Amino acid sequence: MNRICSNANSLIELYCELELNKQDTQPKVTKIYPEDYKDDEILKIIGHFCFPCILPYRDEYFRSNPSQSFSFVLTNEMMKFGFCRYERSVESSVAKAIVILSFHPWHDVFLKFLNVLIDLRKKVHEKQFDSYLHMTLNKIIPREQTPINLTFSSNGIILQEFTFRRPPNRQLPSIPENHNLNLFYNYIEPKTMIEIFAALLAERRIIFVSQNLDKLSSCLQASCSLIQPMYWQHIYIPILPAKLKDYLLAPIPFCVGCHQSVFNSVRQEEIGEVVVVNCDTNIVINPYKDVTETLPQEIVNYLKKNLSNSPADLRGDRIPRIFLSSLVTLIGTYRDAISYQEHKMKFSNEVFIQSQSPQYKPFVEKVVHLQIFQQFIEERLNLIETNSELTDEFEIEVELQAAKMGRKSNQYKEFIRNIKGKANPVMKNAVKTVKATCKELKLKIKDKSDKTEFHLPNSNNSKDNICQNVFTQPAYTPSSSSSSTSSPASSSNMNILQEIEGILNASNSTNGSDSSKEKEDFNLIDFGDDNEESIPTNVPRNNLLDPFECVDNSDLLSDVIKELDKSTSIASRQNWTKFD
Amino acid sequence: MARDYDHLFKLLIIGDSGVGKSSLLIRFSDNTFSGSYITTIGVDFKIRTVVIGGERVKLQIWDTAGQERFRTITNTYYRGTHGVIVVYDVTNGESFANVKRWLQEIDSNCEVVNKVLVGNKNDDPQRKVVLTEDAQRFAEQMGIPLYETSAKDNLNVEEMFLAITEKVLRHKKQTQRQQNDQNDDRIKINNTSGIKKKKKCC
Repeated sequence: MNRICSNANSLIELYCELELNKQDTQPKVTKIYPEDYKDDEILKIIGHFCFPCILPYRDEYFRSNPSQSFSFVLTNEMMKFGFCRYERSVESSVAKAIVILSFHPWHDVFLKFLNVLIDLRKKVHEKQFDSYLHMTLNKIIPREQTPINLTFSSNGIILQEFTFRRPPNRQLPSIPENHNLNLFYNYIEPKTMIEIFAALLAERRIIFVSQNLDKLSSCLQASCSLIQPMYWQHIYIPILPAKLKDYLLAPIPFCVGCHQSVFNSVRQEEIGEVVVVNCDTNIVINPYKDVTETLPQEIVNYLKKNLSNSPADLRGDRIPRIFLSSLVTLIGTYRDAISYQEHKMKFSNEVFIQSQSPQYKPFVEKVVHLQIFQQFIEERLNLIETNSELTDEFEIEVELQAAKMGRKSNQYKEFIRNIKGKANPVMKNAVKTVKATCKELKLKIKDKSDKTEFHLPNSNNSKDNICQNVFTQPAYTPSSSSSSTSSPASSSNMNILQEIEGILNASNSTNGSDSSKEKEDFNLIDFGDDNEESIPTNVPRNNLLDPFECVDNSDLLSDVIKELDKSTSIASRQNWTKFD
Repeated sequence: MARDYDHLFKLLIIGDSGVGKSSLLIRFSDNTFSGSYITTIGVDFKIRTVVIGGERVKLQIWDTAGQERFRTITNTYYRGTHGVIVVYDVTNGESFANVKRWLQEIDSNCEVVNKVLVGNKNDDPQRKVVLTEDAQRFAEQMGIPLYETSAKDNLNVEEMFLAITEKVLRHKKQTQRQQNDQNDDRIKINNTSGIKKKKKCC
C-alpha cells in the first residue's frame, strides 16, 4: 500500500512562482495557477520547501546547487510531489523559483517540464502562458505508455514542443532513465546503499544529509524505492525546510532529507538515537548497527558481491533488482503462511517465522513486526480476496527463485494444492493467476533468448500474447538490462517454468517426484553464474534508451550524460572503499 | 544555549481521525495559535512545559496523519516514545473497537510503554454510546488509567495530561534508580571478587 494517488485526474495541481529577498526568511508567492487554488495550508508552506535552507541562500547556495532544480514531497493521506527550479539570477538580490505540484511521481518528466515552463514564461505574454497552464492542468491522462502532448503553439507556429509517454506505475526504476536512481547510483557507494537498506528494514528514524538539494532528495527517494514491494509507511519528507527542523525530534520512524546547514542547526541530543546518512561523504552513523546486527549476513554478502560489479553491470534496473532479489529471499515465501479461515484469507506470523531457514529466522521474527511488512501483507491479501492479479516484479522474481530450487517449488506445489482443494472462486482465481504468471515468465524468458541485440519489440506479437490481458503491468522493459542479450540461462529457466506449469496442471500428483530436488543447504540468494551472464557487460549508452521514450529523448539523454560527467562519479566509483 | 527544562518527554497521541486528537492538543498546548503542518507533512506536535515537584518537564505530543489505514500499528511506531495517549470518541463505538485492537497490539509487542486511555467528546450524555463501565473494565484489564474528557468544554483535559506526565516521570526515575542499584551491585561484585573490569560495550 503506497501513498501514491495513481488515479489522480490532473497532470499537475498547482503552478507557483516564488521570490525570496536577501534579507527575508519568508518566501513570497508572486503567482499561482489556478488562481482559485483552495489549499491554504500548502500555499503557506510551499515557499519554505522551495527555499528550505538557512541563509545565505543565493551565492553560496547556487554554487552548491548547480542543477538548480529538485523535487520534494508533501504528505497528507496521499503524497504530492513538488518540482522546483530556480531562475539563474545570481547577480540579483532576489532569488526566484517556480514550482509545480502533482500527485504523480513522474520526476523525469516534471523536472524536464520545468525547463519548458521557464522558457515559455520568458517567450510569451502572461495571458498566453496562463492558457498554456490551463491546457496542462486540464490534460486528460491516458493509459500507461501512451503519449501526452504538451506542445504550445501560437497562430500555427510551434513555440514549445513537449511530448512524453505516461510512465508505467510499478516498473522498477532504471538507469539512466530514472533521475533519482541516477543520482543515487552516482553518489551513494555500495556499502552505504546496504547501510540504508538495513536501516529502512528496521524502520529507523533516518536522516539523509547533503549540501545539494537535488542529490539529497533524489538519494532519499531512490533509497525508499529499494524496499519494494514494500512501501515506507511512516513520516516521509525528502526535503525538510529549515522552518520545520524541529520535526527531526519526532519519536516515530521517519525518512527525512535535511540540508547540511539545517541539520547542523539542530540540537543533536534532542533528536535522540537516529541513523544519519551523509550523501556527500558516504558516512553513515547507525547506533543500532543494523548491517551487522539486524540484516542476515548471507544477504549482506549477496548485496556486497552484486553491488561491487562494474558500472556497466549495474545499469538498467540492475540495482533495484539486486535489492528485490534479496527481499524475495527474505519474504518471498509469504504465501506459505496464508490460509483460508472463516471465509477470509489470513496470514500467520508464526507459520511464516517457522517456515524460515535458521539463518533468516531471527531477522524474519523482526520483519513481521514492521509496519511496512504488515501493510504489504494486507495489500496482498486484499489483492487475492478481490480477485486481482499478483503479477508485479516481486511476484515474478518469487517464481523465478522458487523455480531455481526444487525445495521451494515443492512447497509451492503444496500451497497450490491446498488452495485448490477449497473449491472457492477466490482460490480458483489465485491458481489462474499463478498459471498466468508462469506463462508470462515463459514469454519473458523466450523473449530474452530470442534477442541477440536491442531491437524494437514486435507490438503485433505482444498483442497476440495470451497474457497481455492478464498482466496489467507488463514486466518486459526494452531498456532493462535483463532483456538485453541472449543467455544460456534462458533455456534452463524455460524448463523450470514448464515444470512449474506441469505441477500446477497436475495438482493431484504426489510429492515424490520432486523430492530429489530438495536441497536443504541451497544458498537461497546465490543464483549461480547463469544470471550474471545475462547482464550485458558493455552496452553502448544509446542502446540503453527506451525506443518508446518521449520524443525529446536526445535532450534527456544529454542531460543525463552531462549530469554523469559533471559528477565524474563513474570514474570516482573506481576509487571507492572496497568491502573488507 | 541553556536548556529550559529538566526533562524532555516525547508522547504520542493515537486514535481514529475525528475523535478529537487535535482539539485535545490545542487545549493542552502553550501556544494555541501555532500552525498545524499535519496536512502537508503528515505529522504535527504540540509543546508545553509543566512543573511537577519543582522540576520543569517539557512535553512534546506527536500526532500523525492517516493512522486508521493501519489495521494494527506495529511496535516500531512506539519504539522511541515515552508514553502513548490513546483516544477514542465516546459517541463512536467503532473508534473504541479500533483503540482496543491497537492497545492489545502495543501490549503484546512492546516493552513497557506508559499509556493512558482517553474517551473524548464526553459532553453530551444523549449521544454517548461507549459506556463508562465498559471502558473502565477494559482499562482495568489492560492496567491503564481511563480519562473521559471533553476538549470542547475543557473537561478533565488538564488532569489527563498531568496524569500521563507524572506516570512517565515516575517511570523514568524508577528506571534510573534501578540502573543505579545495578551499577552499585556491579561495583560491589567487582570489588569483592577481584574480577577484571570488563570493557563497556555501549
